[in-house]
Amino acid sequence: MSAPKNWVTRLPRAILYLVLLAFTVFYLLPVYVLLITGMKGYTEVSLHSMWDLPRAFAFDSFAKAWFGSPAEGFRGLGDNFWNSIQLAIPATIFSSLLGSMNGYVLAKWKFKGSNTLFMLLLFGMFIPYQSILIPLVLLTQTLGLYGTIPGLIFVHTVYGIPITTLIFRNYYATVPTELIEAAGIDGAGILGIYRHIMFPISLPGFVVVMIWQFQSVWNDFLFGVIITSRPAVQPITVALNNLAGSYIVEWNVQMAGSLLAALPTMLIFVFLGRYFMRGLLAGSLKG
Amino acid sequence: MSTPSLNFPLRKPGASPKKFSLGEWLDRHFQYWAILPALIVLLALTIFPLLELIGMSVSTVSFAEGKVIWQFSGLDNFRTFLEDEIFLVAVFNTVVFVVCTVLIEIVLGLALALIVSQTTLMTGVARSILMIPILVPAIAIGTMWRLMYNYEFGVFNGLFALLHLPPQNWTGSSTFALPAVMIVDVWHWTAFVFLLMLAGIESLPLEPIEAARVDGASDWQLLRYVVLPLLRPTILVTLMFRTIFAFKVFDEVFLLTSGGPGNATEVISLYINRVFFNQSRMGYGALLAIVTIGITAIFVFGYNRLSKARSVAQ
Repeated sequence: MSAPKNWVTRLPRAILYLVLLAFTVFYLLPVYVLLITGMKGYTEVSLHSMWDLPRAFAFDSFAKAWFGSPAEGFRGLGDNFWNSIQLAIPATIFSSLLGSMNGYVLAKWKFKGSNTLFMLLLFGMFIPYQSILIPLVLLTQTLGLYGTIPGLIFVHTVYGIPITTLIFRNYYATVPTELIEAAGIDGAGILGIYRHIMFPISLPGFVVVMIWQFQSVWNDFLFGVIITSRPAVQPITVALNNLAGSYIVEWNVQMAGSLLAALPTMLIFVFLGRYFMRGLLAGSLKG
Repeated sequence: MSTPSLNFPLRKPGASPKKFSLGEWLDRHFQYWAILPALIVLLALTIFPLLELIGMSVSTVSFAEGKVIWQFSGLDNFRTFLEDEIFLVAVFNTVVFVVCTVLIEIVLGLALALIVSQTTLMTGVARSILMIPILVPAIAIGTMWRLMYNYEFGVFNGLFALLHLPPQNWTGSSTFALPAVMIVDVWHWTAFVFLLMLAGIESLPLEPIEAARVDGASDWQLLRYVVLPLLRPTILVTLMFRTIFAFKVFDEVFLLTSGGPGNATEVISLYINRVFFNQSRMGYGALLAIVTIGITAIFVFGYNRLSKARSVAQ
C-alpha cells in the first residue's frame, strides 16, 4: 500500500508522528467510548467509570438491543437488521449495474444530447433530498410502493444512479478506444463489447462502487424514515433512532444498538477495504 | 472530457441487413436502452418533482378526506417567505455551518494528508482509522456523540471536571449547540477530505518538486509555491463536494439537537423538513425548496466559473 514518496520534508519525524497520533486519538475516542459503553452493564455507566474498561465483558446489552424488551416496551433491532440486508443488497446491485451501463454509453458511445443528459444526471446528485420528499412520497404511493421495502430499493437505486454513473464514466474513459474499435471490427456489437470487454475489466470498479453504494444505502436515514412508517418494515437506522430517541432505553443498550447497526459496513471494510482504498485512490472518485 | 465518438457500422460481417433479429436490434440500439431506464426514472424522480414543486409553490396544498387539494394562491407563499425570520436564521446558521466546517475539514484533511504522505510507519494504520467515520451510519454517530456530550457522564464534561470548570449542557445551550454540531461534522467528514487529498498528493508529478529542491527551496516554499498550486484542482473538487453536502446537512443536526434549543441550530434542510412534515405547509415548503435548489445551483455555477477562470489563468 505504500506509495512512492514524492518529497520528504526536513521536519523531524517525531513531530509528524506526534501530530498523527493526536489525530488518531481524536478519531478513536468516540469509538472507544461506544465500544466500552456497549459492553457495560447499566449500573456501570457513570461519570466516574466513563473511561474504565467494563468489569466483565457482558453481551447482555447486545442481546437486549437485538431482541428488544417487551417488559420495558421497546422493539429490538433484529428484524430491522434483516430489513436492511434485504434492502441494501438489491439496491446496491441494481444501481451499480445501471450505473456501469450508463457510464459505458456516456463514456464511449456519445450521441446527440448525451452530455446534457450527463449534466442532468449530476444535478440529481446535488439536489437537496428534503425538497423532493413530498413528490417522492406521492409517486411511490401511485406506484403502490409506499411503505414497503421494494419501494425503498427503488428509491435508493434511482438516487444511486448519478454517483455510480459518474464513477463508471470516469473509469471507462481510461479504457483505450482502440480496444473497442478492434472488438467492433471483429464483429462485436455495443452490448457484446460491454459483456465481454467492459464488464470484466471493470470488476475492480464494481468493488469500489458497490462498497460505496452499500454503505450509503445501509447508512441512509432520511429515505427510510420518509418511505416506511411501519416499524416492521423500517431499516435498522430508523429503528435505531426510535430506540435511541426513547428515554426508557439505557445508554449501554443504545451503544450496543449503534454497534450492531455499524457492524456490516465495518465487516465489509475489514475484508474488502484494501480494494476499496486502491480503487478510490486510483482516482475513480476524483470527479 | 471529450472522447471521440465511435462511428463504424455495427453489423456482424456476413449478417443479412434485411433480416430482422431482435438480438441484433437490441445490440445496435444498446446505447439507447442502456440509458433509457435511467432517463425515465431520473425524469420521474428529479425533473417531475421539480415541476410539481413549482406548481406547489404558488398554491395552498391541503389534505382532506384522503385527497390532495391544490388551490392557486399566487404570491401568498412568496409574501410569507419575505416575512419569515426563522428561514433567515436557518440560512445564517447554515452558512456559518458550511463555511466553518468545510474550511476546517479542508485545512485539517490537507494537513493530515501531507503528514501521512511523509511517513511510512503509520500510513496504513492512519488510513484504516480515518475510514471509520465514513462507514459508520450517521445515526450511530449521532447516538455516540450524544453520549460524548451528555451532561452527567459525557466526555466533555468529564474533561471540564478535570480542569475544575463547571459542566456545560453542550447540545442544550444556545452558545455551544452549533459548535457542538460542527465538531461532529468535522469528525465525520475530515476523513473524506483526507482520502481525496492523499490521492491528489500521491499523483503529483515529481519533476517540479525535485527541481525546486535542487534550487534550494525550503519546506515552506516548496509547499506554498509548488505543492499547493499543483493540488489546486483536487482542492477545488473537494471543496465543491463538501460544500454541497454540508449544505444538505440533516442527520447529524436532527439527531443531536433537532434544531434547538430555540432556533440555535436551525439549518435549512431541517426547517424545510419541519415546514413540510410537521406543519404540513406544502406550498410554502415547496417555495423554500426551490430557493434552496437555487442557492445550491449558484454554488455549483460559482465553482465552475472559478475553476474555469483558474485554468485559463494558468
